[in-house]
Amino acid sequence: MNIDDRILHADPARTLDVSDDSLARMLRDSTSHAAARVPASNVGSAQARPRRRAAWIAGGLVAALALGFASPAIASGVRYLAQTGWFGSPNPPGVGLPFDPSTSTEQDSSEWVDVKADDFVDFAVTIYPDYAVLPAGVDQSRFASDVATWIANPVFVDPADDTDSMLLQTTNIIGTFEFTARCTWMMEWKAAPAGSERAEAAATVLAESAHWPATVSTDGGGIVDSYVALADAALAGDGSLVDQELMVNCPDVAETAGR
Amino acid sequence: MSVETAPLPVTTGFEASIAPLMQPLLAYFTRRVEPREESADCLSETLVVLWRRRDALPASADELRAFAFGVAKGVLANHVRGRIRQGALGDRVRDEVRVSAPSVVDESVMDALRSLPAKDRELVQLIVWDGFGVAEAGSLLGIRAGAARTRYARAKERLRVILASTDLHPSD
Repeated sequence: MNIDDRILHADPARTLDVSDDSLARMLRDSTSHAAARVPASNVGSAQARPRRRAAWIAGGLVAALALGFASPAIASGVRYLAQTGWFGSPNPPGVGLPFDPSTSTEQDSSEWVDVKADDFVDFAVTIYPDYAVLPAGVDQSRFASDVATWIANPVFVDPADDTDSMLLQTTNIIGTFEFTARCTWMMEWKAAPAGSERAEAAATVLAESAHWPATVSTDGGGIVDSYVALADAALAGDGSLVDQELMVNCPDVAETAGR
Repeated sequence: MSVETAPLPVTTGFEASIAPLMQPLLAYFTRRVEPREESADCLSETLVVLWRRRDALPASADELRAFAFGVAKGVLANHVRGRIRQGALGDRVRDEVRVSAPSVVDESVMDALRSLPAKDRELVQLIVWDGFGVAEAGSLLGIRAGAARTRYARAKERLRVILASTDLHPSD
């Protein structure tokens, strides 16, 4: 047996037996779900939200206050309905609200926020991290608003899902701001002439962005390293990792937000 | 007991373009993902990215295949970083992958492959397992065609030497 035949014979997928029908259904289902994504053109549009959720959020706020959970926003007199007053894990005992969120990381003590609340976007803009700088021509406040609106839209629209809440910790929201801002710098690097000061500046921000706080704190393993490798490659003039990240991971909203 | 399912409706242009790539893409992930049934999640994620990029899909079948495998390569990187989560879309495919009998593994070949530098190993696998030409496989890995030919020839020679030695002196 020659070398090619031996390698071919060792193919782990040689005996794979999955029906074309199952794959056709998977393709259909995946396409249907992908088609249900909120289109990028909706970014920035007004969001109609049911009012009835406000009642239990307010109830939760009362319960949280009764239980004595600290909230800097409450202390300063500024409060958004999107804020729950709950921090970290586990959930405050005895609150009994209709969801059971888990923390984004075991160490994450940040506040849970309801992304379906009417004022979620207004709140999210207030926590945009100033260190997550943006390329020239991208307005930070509009960028934050557009990305927050994108966060507020469910990735998939499930007609059977009539829940009124979707909770995220602020660390996740800030991490999404960081992630999307990083994508804008990848686009900036690609738009800049190769080897130019502009390209070098973009690659430098990409290198710094690998160590932005929420990126680091939510790294389950390998994320920071992958961004460091991406930035190193970009600094060396190699755009293969940038292209891959833009194609596979960067959301469409990164192309339009704040512009 | 088999479950009766309704016939699939007429496919869209996107689905018609991607359908011939489903088996090759699933095989690509099954060769590289552990546990192997998670290849279904990787395939599902690849389909979502392809749909999102549908306006940029090349028209020619060869270019579309290369594009789709470029996406698959990125999704595989995400899987390695733990960024692919199990979804319900691939349940049926996941079950079929799970019950597919794993190939009888020739450990001496697998060990020889593992001894290659990562890029050379992937080059060999893309060519021999995934059926790409040398230049195409090189392009997927960011290697120029000439360099890919050189690396492929060198990798095969190294495999030949290692396997000849292993066959003469089996470890057990």
